Amino acid sequence: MRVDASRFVPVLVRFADDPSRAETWGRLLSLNPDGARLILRAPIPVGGLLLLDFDVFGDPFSGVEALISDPSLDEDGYTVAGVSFRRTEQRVAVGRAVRRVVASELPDDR
Amino acid sequence: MAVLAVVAKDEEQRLTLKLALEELGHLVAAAKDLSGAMEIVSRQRPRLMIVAQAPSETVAESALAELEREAPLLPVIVAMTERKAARALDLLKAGAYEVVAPPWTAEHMAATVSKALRFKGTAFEASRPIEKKIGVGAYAALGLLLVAMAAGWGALERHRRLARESEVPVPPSEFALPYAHPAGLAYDGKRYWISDWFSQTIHRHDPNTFAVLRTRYLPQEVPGALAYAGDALYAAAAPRGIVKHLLDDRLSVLSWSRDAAPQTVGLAYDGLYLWSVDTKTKKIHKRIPDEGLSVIESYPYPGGVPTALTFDGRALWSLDWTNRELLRHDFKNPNRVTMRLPLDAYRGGRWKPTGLAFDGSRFVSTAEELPRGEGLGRVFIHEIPPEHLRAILTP
Repeated sequence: MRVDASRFVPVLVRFADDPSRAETWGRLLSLNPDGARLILRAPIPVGGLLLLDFDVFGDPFSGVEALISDPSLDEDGYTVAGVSFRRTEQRVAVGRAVRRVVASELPDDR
Repeated sequence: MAVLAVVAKDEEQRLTLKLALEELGHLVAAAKDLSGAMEIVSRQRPRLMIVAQAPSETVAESALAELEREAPLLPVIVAMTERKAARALDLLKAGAYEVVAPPWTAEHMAATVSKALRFKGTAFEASRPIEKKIGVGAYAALGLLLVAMAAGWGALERHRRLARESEVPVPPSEFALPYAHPAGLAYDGKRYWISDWFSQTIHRHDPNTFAVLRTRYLPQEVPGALAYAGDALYAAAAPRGIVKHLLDDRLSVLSWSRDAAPQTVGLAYDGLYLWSVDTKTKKIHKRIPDEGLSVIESYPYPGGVPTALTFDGRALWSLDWTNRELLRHDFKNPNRVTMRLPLDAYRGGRWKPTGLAFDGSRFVSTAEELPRGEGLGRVFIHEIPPEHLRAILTP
């Protein structure tokens, strides 16, 4: 498991709508410049705003604002949700990191 | 009923975890330290290990290192005595399957234990969503549907019989991959190799069913484009490298070269030279397979956006995403296109091609669903019209 667990980007989750709520953690199941799919143990509300901290293969991202869409419970009781990154500059930065990793798109000149 | 190993130096913590897990219906073998836990691992073969520790302790990291040799696929759950999200993240990065905070009750631990017991050494993944309850209206609709289905059954059977009579087996033209980010494809004459950049793995696939035969995780590289070269596999590795792997079970690294012409999205080996195509300068590069994979010639790419490259035994082919077509390149001057084959699979814009291979009679490509990462990757089989195939095989 040591081999595989770290493959799915661990993510620190803070609740921007409710600072009193304790921060929690989960993983990104997938990631693209516009958003991600998130899996975590804690329940999260649809439309809520999260602040995410994670690394994309060495590039650290902190406080990425992510709006929750279509959260659902999987069979085990984990919450799986799509999140879309709200701020343009953060989308650009994540996109740049993803592109650097895959090198499969035109160079980003922005 | 699964045997679960518990490691906790504090007796009360050990008992709390044991009771919670037994309440969930599991057998628990508990140890007060790591050496005791390793004995449990070798004798009782537990399905998972739960390590209790304070955030400042490093028992879990030691357990992970020990298990790397003894039971590399055993999931390790860390039960922290105190909720510290930053420390939990460190443990996940170190390879823990999951971290749970207090209270260590059966109710609180059920989801994590259930998910860890499903783990088969491939991924941390979401299981099927819980089905929603069906209301009375839905049952009524279902009843009506059944009546309609019964009425149509006879007609359907007749249609099926006629269809069977004229049926000619058609092999599937696409296969879903069990991962979302395929980035490169190579064919070694027997099997397909597909890289997945997000999970940093290279998978070996059955050539007929595309079932995964073997998976190799590559913690030191992010693999992209692939090329088969005799007993080796070249992999473009982000951000700027090309790695040569031996085709053994571990895909041992033979060499790592700094990519002199990034961003490589396609690789092909013609038996003598390694060819690459990049999206930065949009050029096709001819390289000597020396230590630095030196570029000896470069040619402007004659299409729009290249996404993959392959060699059919006689000529180089690229997959041009802009025009959704395959381009055959003149071998002496790859800037000149000698054949174009449109790719219907990419017409709708739902898929972004990422890899290309030729199996002797068909082209095969891998693709990511757009927007990137939304769904599982795909393999497309591109049949070639007979007249074109003849022209390819006997140019």
